[in-house]
Amino acid sequence: MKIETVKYLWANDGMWLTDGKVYAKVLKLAEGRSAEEFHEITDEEYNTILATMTAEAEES
Amino acid sequence: MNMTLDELKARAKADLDNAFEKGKSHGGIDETQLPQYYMTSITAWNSAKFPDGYNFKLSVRDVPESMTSIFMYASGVKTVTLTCEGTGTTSWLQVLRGCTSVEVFDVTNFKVFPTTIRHFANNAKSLVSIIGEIDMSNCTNAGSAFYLAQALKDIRFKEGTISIALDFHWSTKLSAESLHSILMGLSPTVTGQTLTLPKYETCKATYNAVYGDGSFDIIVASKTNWTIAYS
Repeated sequence: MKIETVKYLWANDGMWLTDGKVYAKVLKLAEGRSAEEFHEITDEEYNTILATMTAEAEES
Repeated sequence: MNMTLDELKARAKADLDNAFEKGKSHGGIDETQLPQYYMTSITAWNSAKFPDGYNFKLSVRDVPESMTSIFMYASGVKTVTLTCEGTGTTSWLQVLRGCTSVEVFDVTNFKVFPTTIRHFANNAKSLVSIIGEIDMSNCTNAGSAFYLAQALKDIRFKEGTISIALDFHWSTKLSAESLHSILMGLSPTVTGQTLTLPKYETCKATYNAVYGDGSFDIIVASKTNWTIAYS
């Protein structure tokens, strides 16, 4: 019998996790990736980045 | 009967003129777009104005070389049903981009392999169901494919064929079966890719309600080669 457990990385309240490409409140990391690759940004910082990504998605 | 290239072009133009006139009676395409329309039939219904609630059906013998922008910014169309006798690869670049009226995209009998789904349903805000399994084996780009596809509930992928990043975080209404198909669609061998889903609690509750307590975490855990991000 094999039991799989999944480890999640959770952003603190009011924060987002990011590695510069991926933005998430919760992450399940692929094997080989580590939590140290990610840092937290605030909701406000995320919203600013989101606005830029939105503009790019609308225009491209 | 063999036709010369000029005769083929003339016949193709006549067919397009006829199709355009039929569409024109329903509002039609902006005449400033005519040169683009004539130059390439792949944008045939780009910005077309259909009557509200229109059920569009198209049957083709061969897979179109490209379906880029085919219904981009079309209005009024509610359902799109495509059938094709053949099979093969084609571009699905911005097929439904900005088509805010479409609710159902049926490719049950349209067995094609999209090479790209970039902007496929970008701003298709009313799209609820994509019916028919999408084989992603040949797809190399899914950028903004489901940007603002906020009504999307039903989607199915061929198992194990997704090897590129997919972002569904706008699609908060995904059914349990759709979540299952997305997760089972992930390639078991690719590395360095990320799947982005809506809120973790929403996905978990939706999935477990159908597949049983704890099932969501089990299936997610099994995708060891994928990073899964929840918005």
